[in-house]
Amino acid sequence: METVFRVAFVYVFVWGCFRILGKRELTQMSPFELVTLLLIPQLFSRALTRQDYSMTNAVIGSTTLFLLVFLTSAASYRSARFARLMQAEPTVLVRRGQLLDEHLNRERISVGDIYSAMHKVGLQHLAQLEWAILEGDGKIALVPAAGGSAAQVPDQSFRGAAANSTSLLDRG
Amino acid sequence: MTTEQDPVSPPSPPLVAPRLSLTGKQLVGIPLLAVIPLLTLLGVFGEGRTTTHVVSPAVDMRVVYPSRLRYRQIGLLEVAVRNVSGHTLDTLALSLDTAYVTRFSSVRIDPAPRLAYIVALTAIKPRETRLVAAELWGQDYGSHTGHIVATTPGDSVSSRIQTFVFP
Repeated sequence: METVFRVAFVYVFVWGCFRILGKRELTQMSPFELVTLLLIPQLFSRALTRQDYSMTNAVIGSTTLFLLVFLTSAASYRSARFARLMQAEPTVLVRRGQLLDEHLNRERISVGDIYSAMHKVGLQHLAQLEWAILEGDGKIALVPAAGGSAAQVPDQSFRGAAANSTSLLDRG
Repeated sequence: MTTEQDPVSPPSPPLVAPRLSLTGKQLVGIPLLAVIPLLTLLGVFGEGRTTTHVVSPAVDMRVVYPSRLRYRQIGLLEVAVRNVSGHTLDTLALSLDTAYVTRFSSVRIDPAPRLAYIVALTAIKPRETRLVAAELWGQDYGSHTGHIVATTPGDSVSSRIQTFVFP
């Protein structure tokens, strides 16, 4: 019985930590993928299992975790309020070529990070950007400004606002 | 430039009423996933202890043993024998079923048996209780059954015990 509570506690605890840390720490993985990846090895470690190495305990722990992941995603999908609680809202970093200092400071994203993301999609100047958005999963999405600069973006076939995105992990 | 042409944030996605839809596999799999933690919360996979109590004219024997145990976990088997006769019992042999005990590993019995899994208790005064404890380390999976027998000259009591070891 205690394994179920321990897994649930660690799940919520790790989620809470990442929500406090902010989007900067979330890169290629979604928060839930990251929580899952962090937790599953722990289920088989003595810290979480109290030296109970039985398969029964491992199955109980992992099924509890998978169930929590499913319930979280289902609740996030059904309830916008719950989704906002679980996952960070996107933050606009650049608007029509203008850096938004307050947002950059709050998210701890440097100008160099913005430029690095721009370079990866073939953009050189801020003026070529319509939007740079730090998405809830920690990736920077770039929307080039309409006009000539879009021609420099390698993949123009992307749909809608998320024209191109790159991960903070990709930074050199 | 108007406000519409210079918005503060990019356009929001259109609102679509969310409706949770599960595939056939999910309809089967999700309840199955839920069953295990729920049964665990109900104590099905937890470690359990059971008490048995048998009485004869000379001996009152109470056995507390692990009825459910997990692999590589330690369960404590405790046998309390009480002299309910009016005279001192010179010897009482407490025998733990070999077939049962050998299904566990690292068995430690206190007081230590002189023969294999037979503990000899001597000079038990009237109304005196002696305790024999055994640490059982879950090794083989499945259900293990055995008997604990307390034998005195002219009297004997037996208690059946059963332990299920989860894999």
